[in-house]
Amino acid sequence: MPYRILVVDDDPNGAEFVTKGLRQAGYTVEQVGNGPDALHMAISEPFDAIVLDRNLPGLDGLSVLRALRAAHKDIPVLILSALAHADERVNGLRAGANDYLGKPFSFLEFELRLENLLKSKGNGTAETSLTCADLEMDLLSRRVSRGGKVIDLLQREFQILEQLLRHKNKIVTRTMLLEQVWDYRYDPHTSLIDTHISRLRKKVDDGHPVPLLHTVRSVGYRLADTP
Amino acid sequence: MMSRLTRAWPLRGLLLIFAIILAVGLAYSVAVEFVDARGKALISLQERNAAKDELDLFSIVDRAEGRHGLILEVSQQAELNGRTSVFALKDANGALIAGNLKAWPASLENNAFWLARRNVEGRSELRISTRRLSDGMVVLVGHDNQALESFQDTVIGSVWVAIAIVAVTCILIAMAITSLIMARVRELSATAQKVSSGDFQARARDRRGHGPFDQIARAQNMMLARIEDLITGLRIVTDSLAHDLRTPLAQTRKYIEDGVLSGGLQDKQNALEAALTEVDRTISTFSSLIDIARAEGGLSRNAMEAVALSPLAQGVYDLFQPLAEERAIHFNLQVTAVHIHGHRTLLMQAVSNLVHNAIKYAPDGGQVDLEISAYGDGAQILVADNGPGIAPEERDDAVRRFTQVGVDTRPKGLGLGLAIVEAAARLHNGKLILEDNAPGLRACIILAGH
Repeated sequence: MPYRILVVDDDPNGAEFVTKGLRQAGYTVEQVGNGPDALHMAISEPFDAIVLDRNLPGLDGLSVLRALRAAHKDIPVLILSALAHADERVNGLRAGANDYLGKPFSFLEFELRLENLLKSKGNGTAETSLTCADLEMDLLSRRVSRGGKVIDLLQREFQILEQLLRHKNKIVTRTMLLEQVWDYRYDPHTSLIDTHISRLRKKVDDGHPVPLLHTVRSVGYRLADTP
Repeated sequence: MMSRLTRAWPLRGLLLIFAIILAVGLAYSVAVEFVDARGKALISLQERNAAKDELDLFSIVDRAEGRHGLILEVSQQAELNGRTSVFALKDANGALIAGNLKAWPASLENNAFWLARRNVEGRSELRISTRRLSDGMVVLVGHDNQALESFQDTVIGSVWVAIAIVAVTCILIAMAITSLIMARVRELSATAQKVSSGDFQARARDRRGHGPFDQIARAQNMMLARIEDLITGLRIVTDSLAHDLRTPLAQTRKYIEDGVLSGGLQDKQNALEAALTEVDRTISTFSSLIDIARAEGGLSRNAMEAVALSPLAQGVYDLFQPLAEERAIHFNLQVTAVHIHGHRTLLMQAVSNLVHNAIKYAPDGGQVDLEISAYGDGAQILVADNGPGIAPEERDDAVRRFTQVGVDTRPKGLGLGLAIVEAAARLHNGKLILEDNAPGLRACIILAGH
């Protein structure tokens, strides 16, 4: 059963871009172009997530969101808006959004974030350990080992690896790492994250025949036992 | 509103005039009443004395010259003052023997004084006095109230004249005051109109006084200066956008073009990746500009909250530490627990930018310090390196948007960095101070407390 997504955007081109991309990725997508319809659909029909624009005719996106939350609909909402400034992001999250992405955006990043939302909605129970091939991470004792050999990690390295493990086999972008590990809401646009990853890679992959930590050029990183 | 102010005679001005007229009118009528009453009292006292004097005169004439002298005197008086007064003399038998009365008034005592009698032989009101003389003769003196009436007429007439003079004066003064006020109001509104029509340098004339209009003018000028600042800022941002986005856009276009034209699949892939990087950089430049504009416009103020600076600095330190380590730079962090009311994201960005620059300019094996300390109510964030530093005369330029000091010799990317730091400092009512670290640069952000 594919996930059912509601895409709300009054710009037909933008909506079409998102809808088309999501359909290609295997989602079922409904699309509306104004606030009142969006609210009506979100309340009356079952969706797994909502992709919400902010500048909407009739009722703006944040009002739709507040109305939804007031009606105790805790469906994941990802705001996709040209109001991309950090202050606006805070406004969006305060109104009850689960994630916030500014336009222009990378579709890949958008898709990854949406997957995150759907996934976190899916499993409510907290995991205690994460694995990828012979790499193991114990979240309780905060111990990491590969092939039974303990790896010493600094706190941030541990956090980076945790994010990569949680999205095993999927791409994690630099922005997502900056947000989740450093709580950075902007891109310092340097090769900073690459430096962190290469240090982590040394600790994780050095001396092992199969590399696990892969760089996806210009996009991000992926932890997987296949290249 | 503006045009109504300049054209129409203001209602309030008219009301003021009426109020003044009314007040002065009231004051005058009270004064007139007083003058009238006092005047009447004085006049009547005078007339009573005159009546008594006349009677005394007749007594003297009676004693000195007897009946004939008296008849002559009464006739003479009647002839001289007959228009306003009556005189009469009767003998012991009650027969009129002199004077200008046709008949002796009925029921009149022989020693009356100042009795009011109406309609005596066609005269409206008379004050009559009588005196018994020798041989049973009685003399009568009566005065009409013409003096009183003419006094009253004079008073009332002069009151009207006074009211007219006062009213005209009031209107003139009110008009003068109003036109003075209107001149100042017009001056202020003319400034506003000039600004509305695009002349942002227009200012109201400052007379350096302490009057209400001087204060309004100064407040208006302060507001206009701030607006001009913001507009200039906006203009610079717009110009900068046009200028600084053109370059990366051209670069992006070139990469895409390379990709389209090249034959090999790997070349296309490389070109696409290069284009993507360039686009990301463009977006990032764009965001920085918006950050600066928002911070300088004070728009970010409502996103301010309590911020603990130590964890923030620790985060920045953790992020940049590997970068420093790669070049064997000693990166030191020293923090004190300080909380301020601030903009988290912007502060993080400011500290990152300073640290990033410091690491970039420090020599391999050099030194970079990041220090957080309390400063009065607020905090001080210090970032120091031992790189080449910035010459004193170039420090102002370094902070300005889109200047890159010594572009030839320095690594790329300083463009907006310090401008964001400066904007962040200003948003926190603080400042960015650049100093010589001998050698290197000491950048110090002072943040106000609350």
